[in-house]
Amino acid sequence: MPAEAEASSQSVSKLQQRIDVLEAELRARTAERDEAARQQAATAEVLQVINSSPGDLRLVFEAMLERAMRLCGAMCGGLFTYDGTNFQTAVTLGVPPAFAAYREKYPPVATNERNARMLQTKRFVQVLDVTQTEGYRQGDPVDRSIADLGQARTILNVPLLKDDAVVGMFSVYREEPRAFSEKQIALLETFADQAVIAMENARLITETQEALERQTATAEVLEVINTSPGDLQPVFEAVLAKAMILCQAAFGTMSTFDGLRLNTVATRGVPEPFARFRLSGPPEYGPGTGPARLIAGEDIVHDLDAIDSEAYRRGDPSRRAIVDLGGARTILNVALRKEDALLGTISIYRQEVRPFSDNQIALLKNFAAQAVVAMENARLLDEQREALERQTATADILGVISRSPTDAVPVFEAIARNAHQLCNAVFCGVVQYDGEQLHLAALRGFSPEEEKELRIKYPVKADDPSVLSARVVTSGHEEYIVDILADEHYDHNQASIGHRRMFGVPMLRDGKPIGAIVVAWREPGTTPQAQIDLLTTFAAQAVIAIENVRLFTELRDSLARLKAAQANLIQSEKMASLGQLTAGIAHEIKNPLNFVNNFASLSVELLDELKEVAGPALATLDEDKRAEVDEAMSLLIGNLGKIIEHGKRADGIVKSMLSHSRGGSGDWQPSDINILVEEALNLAYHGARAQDKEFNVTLERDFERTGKPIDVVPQDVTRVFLNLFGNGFYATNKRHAAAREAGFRPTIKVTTRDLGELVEVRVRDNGTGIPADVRAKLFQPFFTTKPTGEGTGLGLSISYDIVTQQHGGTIEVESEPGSFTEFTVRLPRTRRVSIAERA
Amino acid sequence: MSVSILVVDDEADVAELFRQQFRREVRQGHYVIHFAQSAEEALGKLGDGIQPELMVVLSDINMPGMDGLLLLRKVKEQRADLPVIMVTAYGDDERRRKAVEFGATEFVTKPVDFNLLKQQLQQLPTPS
Repeated sequence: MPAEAEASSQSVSKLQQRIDVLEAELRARTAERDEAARQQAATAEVLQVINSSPGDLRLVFEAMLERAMRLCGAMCGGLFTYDGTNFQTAVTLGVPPAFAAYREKYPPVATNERNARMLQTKRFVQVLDVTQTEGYRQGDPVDRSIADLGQARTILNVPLLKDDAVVGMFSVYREEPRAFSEKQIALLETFADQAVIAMENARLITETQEALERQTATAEVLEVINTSPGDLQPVFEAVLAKAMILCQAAFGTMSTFDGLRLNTVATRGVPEPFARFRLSGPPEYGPGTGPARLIAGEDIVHDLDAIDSEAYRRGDPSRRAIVDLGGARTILNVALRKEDALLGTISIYRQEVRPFSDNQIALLKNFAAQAVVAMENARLLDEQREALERQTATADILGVISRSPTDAVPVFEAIARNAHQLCNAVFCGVVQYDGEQLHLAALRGFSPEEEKELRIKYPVKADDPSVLSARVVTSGHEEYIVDILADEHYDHNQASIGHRRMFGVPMLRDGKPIGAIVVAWREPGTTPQAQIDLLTTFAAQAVIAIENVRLFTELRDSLARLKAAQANLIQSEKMASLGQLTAGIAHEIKNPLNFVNNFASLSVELLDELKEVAGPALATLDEDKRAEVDEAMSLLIGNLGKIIEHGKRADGIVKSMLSHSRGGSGDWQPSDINILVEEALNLAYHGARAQDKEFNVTLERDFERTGKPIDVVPQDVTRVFLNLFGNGFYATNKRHAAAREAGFRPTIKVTTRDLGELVEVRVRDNGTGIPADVRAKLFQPFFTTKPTGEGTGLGLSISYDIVTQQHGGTIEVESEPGSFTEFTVRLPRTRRVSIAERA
Repeated sequence: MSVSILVVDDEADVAELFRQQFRREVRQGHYVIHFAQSAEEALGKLGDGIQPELMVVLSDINMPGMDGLLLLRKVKEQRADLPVIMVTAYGDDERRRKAVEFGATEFVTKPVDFNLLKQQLQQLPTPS
């Protein structure tokens, strides 16, 4: 062979070798590429699984594990979560059933050397042959179980890391002892990262879902609160239902706290036997039980296992019942508090031992807060409503007061009605107190028959302790009876009405009790302060009403007196002006009258002179002529005499007019009593006739004419007589008009007598007479029996003053109704210094 | 010996009344009666001088213009010794008091009791 041929065959074989090597490399790269492609595909698939079912970890883990095992050539594997202390088996794949069951029961433990190392280094740990490990030889259960139950030899554990913390573990196993390659380990680490992402996603999704659930539940409860703001029952039921659903409880109860006891307001899902137990009576919670601890001040009581508690072991009845009859194990109790005060409780129960999570506890606290808000709303609304009711009642009563100023009874009835209604009382009574006795003013809450029976008992003496209102007016302040059955003084015959608790408040005027309001309720116990305040207000209003009536009546009487005084004043003024007029006229008349008298007298004198002077001349006349002259003369003289006589009469009338028109105290003058009486009688009679043409009365006079003078103020005693005569005329007129008695002649008899140092004048009429009770008030100012407008009631009182005060005399009256009246005036003959003058 | 009496009154008939009542005295020459119908006229006459000698002034109180009490004061200013008698319808305390205060000798109410008046005149001092 030539050399070139050998060289070319060497080159060919070198080429061939090269081609072989390249082909081998190609095959290797292709295999690598295929492998990489498969890994990529697997990763993509897992990601897709994560994306399509983000919350479903199990699916993700299974997908991951399956591809990992396939790509790594592992026989079986498992995925475990780690919470910082313990591992939990999430998924196992391909493991023999015995090992799977074992793993379910006994997750890997952190104490295992291998696991411990992984936890510490945060890196994968591979064991080629578990049977060769120290742990296996020592009998470590983890190692033994893997080898014996799992038939595995090579173990690879890859940690799942989140922010540098171990949150789980990937484990793959081979039956034969064959190490996993670097690439396979790297793949598993990728899958581990993806697993962590998946777990995060799932966690976030779950959190979001839970948050949304909570929000929705809260919003729903708020809506229930808003739609029925005063009505708590729907709120309680909504809260309990939502709480149980979101906290995954088997049953639940909700209670309100009234200061002494818890009262169940809502239950849900409560097992029948326990429900029956609850119906038998209100629960008693011994120390250590959830409700007891909440009452004691705790906010949350979370019993992990009710059986495993001191209360249960002690045999506390409520704890035993909830467990034995209700099947409760894990219990969560949350307090409803406003500031520090306990308003109620929510309790939810699980029938297995499974603690409630922090989120669930937080959720229940939230619901508790909402329930408190709802209760507060309801309370405020109630308060507002009650306040409005009270205001309305007060306004109602004030309205009655203003509408009936003269009668307090409608006010009392309005008070009784409102008190009875607003206090939800069995009955209510209003009584008045006159200083000695109690009088029933108004009653409410009784049938008409019952009321009649009660009214018979009144008036009641104020020192009777069996009657509550008597105690109230005696002590002058509020009185309570917590339970009438326990009150030894109370009249227990009253108990048939059906009341137990009573309260009484006094009606005070200037601090003194003038009455009381008494209310009775069915239940014994204490009376709420709001009702006490309300009743106190009513009592004040009752006093106002009484005062109003009194003041109104006084006002009316004052007004009447004022009017009378005014009329009298007007009358006086009239009289005064009339008097002035009269005086003026009298004075004017006096002047010409004087001339009449004077010239008349003078004329008489002149005639006499004439007679004297003409005497002798007349003698020379013949008889007839002389007779004519004589006759004319005497006629002239007679006429002049008449002029003088009538002039004097006119003068007398004028003097009388002048003296009568003068008001007030005049001069003391020695007078003839008979003349004064006569003048007064005439004046009165003619005055009465002038007013009433029909007026007719017989005047009888019986004057003792001694001629002895008496010191008087003539105008004033004349006024007295005028008054007495006027009264007499009125009385006889009245009798005459009232009963047309046949043969009745109205008569006034006036008598004067000389009693030495005294002068007596009697005025007797046969008129209607004066009854005894009127006689007592006869001389009182403003007292009159005449209808309004006819008499001022001043006449007799002034007469009384003139007689007694001014003249130091006496005036008395005797009378027989229907028969006669006689006034007797006695005046001292000589002026006595009056009491006023003496002072 | 006659003396004068001055009668002052706004009523003219009073003059006639006095004339008739004193007709005898006048006839006998005891009195000469002068009349003035107003206080002013009276003062005028006084000023002019009255003859015979004036014994007394008899004056009404209620007159238009100057009333009798003022006249009384004025007369007393001029002739403190000259008696003035008030003759009036109004016999009230107030007028009486004032009259006395201003120096009136007597206070006589109408209708005049002429007998009494004549007695009172006789009590008066005869002017010198």
